[in-house]
Amino acid sequence: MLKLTGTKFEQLPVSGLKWVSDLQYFDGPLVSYFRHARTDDAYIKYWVDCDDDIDRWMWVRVTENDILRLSNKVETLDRVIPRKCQDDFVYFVDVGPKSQSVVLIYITDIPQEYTPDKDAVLSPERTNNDKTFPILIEEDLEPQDLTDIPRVFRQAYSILYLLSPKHVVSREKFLSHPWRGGFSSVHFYNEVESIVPDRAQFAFQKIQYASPGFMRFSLDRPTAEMVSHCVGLISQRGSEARRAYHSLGSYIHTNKLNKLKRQDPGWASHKTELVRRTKALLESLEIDKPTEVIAMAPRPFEAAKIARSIFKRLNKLATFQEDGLITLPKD
Amino acid sequence: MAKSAPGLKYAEEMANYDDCPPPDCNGYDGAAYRWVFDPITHKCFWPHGKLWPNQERTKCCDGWGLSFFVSAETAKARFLAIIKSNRNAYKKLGTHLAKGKITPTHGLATEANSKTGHFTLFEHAGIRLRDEFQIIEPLIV
Repeated sequence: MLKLTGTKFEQLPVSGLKWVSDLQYFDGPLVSYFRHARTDDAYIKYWVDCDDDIDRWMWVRVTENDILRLSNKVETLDRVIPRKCQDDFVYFVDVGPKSQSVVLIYITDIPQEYTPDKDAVLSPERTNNDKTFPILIEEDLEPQDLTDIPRVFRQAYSILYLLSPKHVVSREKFLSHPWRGGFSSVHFYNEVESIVPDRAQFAFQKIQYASPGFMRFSLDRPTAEMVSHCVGLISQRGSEARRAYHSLGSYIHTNKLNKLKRQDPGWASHKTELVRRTKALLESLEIDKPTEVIAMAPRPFEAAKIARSIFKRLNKLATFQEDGLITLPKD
Repeated sequence: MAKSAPGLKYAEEMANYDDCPPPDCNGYDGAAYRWVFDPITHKCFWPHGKLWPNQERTKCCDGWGLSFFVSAETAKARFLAIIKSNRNAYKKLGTHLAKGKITPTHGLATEANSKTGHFTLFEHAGIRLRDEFQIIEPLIV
């Protein structure tokens, strides 16, 4: 192991650090996230070296924003350690079977061997206990954006939760819900959110309003990642979802279906085409068994409106992301 | 206290944890790849709970299993990813890639991760995996 020269301590002069999660783990932790119990400061405990008896770790104080970006793979470790360290120094701790020694070293004196290689992406293993998800803020947001982004995300999250084949009971409850009258998106999403079970309800945990900053929510993480995935489907070049959305909208517009009276006998001639185009839109968003979703609505026209409303919410998030205002982490 | 896992090499230690081995473990039958040192010693097949008893969070069910990969490609990809984040990790985890064949007689295996190809084997008592594996290439060049 390299000889380290710096200010020595008998023990780490920071106490009250609580383990939160491992950001890199293989047969033991290699990069871990700790929080200070009193100040709430974020620390990374980073494994750097060993010999037959001793493991050497580096303690680095960072920001929670950096932790979120690392753990969601939108930031590489070499861009955080050591350059994003919140102090001018780090601590190296040598841990042996019976003793430990601590050395404070200035960031500029950290041996290169003890820093991450370029573009080092961490692979944190998600546990079933991980019920949080961040939206990362990349640029200054307008006050209206701060309201719109979580609202739109919540609506997209809630509908995708209920449509997931993994949530059999909730999906069944949603598909058998007695929808009445025409389609009003406010009414629809209020009801949708009320059907999501308490354990998966979307709730605000924390916002750090800065650029970069973050909003953090408690929710069902796999569904949140599904939202992010669907946003990606819309954003990709030659998006099938965008094509299907415009195809359905074009049919409604060309045939003036928004102005057609509910009792008009002309609806019968549009049923097949509305179902076909709605199904194509739902399939492009990888929604399971779209025919069941279409059958849930009173008529194919309402089903088309529901499908279009899902796309609109995802597309709004895609626009925020394409404009560089936010990043939605992917699995 | 969890149920014991009779017949496994570390049944006594594993009895301290719930669902250990995990209930969905099965026999694995096929080629397997593991990071080792050159020359291969028995220590290359010690579970990390035994190898580093004082290390944090190795005192868990996985601590009494051995890490393998289903292919050389997945084994090398994971190794390279870890070496990028922790340059000296080879000193702890291995310097060479070894290949062997694992059968259900060797123990109970978790389902291989579909992305990383990683799985954990909980050895049966009396198994000597060192004799079943040969080095096929260095991981550090």
